[in-house]
Amino acid sequence: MSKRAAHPMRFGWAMLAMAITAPLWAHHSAAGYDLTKTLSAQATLKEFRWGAPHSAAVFTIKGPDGKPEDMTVACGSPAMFVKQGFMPKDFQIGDKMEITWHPAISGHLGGMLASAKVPNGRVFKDVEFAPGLTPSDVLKQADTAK
Amino acid sequence: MNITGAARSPSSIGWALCLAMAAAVLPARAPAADPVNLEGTWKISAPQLAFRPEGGSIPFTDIGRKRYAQNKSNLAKRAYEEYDYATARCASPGLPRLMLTQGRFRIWQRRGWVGFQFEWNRLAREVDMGNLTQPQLRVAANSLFGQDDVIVGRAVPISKGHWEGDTLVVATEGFQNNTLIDNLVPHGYDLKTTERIRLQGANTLEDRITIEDPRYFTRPWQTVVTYQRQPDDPFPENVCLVTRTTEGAAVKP
Repeated sequence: MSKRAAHPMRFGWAMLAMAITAPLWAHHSAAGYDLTKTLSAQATLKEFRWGAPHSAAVFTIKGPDGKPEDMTVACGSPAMFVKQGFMPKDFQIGDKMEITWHPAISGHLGGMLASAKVPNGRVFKDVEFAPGLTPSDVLKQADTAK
Repeated sequence: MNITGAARSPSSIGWALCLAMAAAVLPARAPAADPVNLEGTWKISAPQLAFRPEGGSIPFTDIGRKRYAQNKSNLAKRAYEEYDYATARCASPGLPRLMLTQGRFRIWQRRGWVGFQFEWNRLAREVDMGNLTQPQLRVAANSLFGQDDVIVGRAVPISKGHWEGDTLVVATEGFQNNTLIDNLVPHGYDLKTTERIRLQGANTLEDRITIEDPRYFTRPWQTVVTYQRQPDDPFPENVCLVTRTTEGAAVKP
């Protein structure tokens, strides 16, 4: 097979590889969140949807106009919480907690949960996308905080 | 009626398929060792959206009463997405609400397990009678906490069952916290139900349910639901997301 004739095939394989890997890469990507920014708020937990590889939580916070607004944030799998000593029971509907999150770059309210201080004072920290920290750094911090 | 997101667990779907295949292939035959044969098709005697507590009222804690009042307020506004994901999203209603289904359900009584196959949304529940090979969806956290904890509960956990005379006693725990006990009553992760299921006659089935959750109720409370035997006709397809016309209007778990 000549070099020239091989090009379309290589292109085809490359496209196939991209088609397969792009959704996987995108699924775990934090590209939709601005990890350089961290916002915080006093929040009330409305719903926690536990799941892997990502859970999601709905918090009610005070919106820009002072009215309550629901905000959905992505967060880690149950295993990530368990590794820091948190169980679903630590997140009860109606619990008030201090949260921080990396906002969505789209400008919509919401983003990726960075931390949550639950009513008993313990703090969960995201270990997957914490800027500048490796997961082991964050786990060490969590151990120290216990 | 429904539960978390629109998702049903693969396990639930698998069980529904198994029960459907069993319905097509196997003759109805309860194990000879079982004291009573509960098999057949059943339907609630009188449609009801809420459980009627024996003694007249539900013994709410302050947290329970507050969430119940919020749910009532949201119901008045038809704001189902605020509290009732079964109605809002066609998610599984979970237990024990599933036992208020207005559709029919079929009981399969086999060696080691009892299965409930629901007409509505093709849901299923399973009762482990001590010989169920499918493991409970537990995540052994031994290395982390030194205990075997259920990390994430389910809307319809696998129940544990045994016979006490002519009564099938079914205990269920390991719940999520985002379903309701009926159309309004909230519960948390610590919900436990104990059902005592027995025949009141050849064609009437009784389910006496004891409900416990110390976060939401000051003490256990009981309710009774009865069902009438129906002809064993095949269940037509009944998929909530397809059949409902407007939000919540056609959702009849």
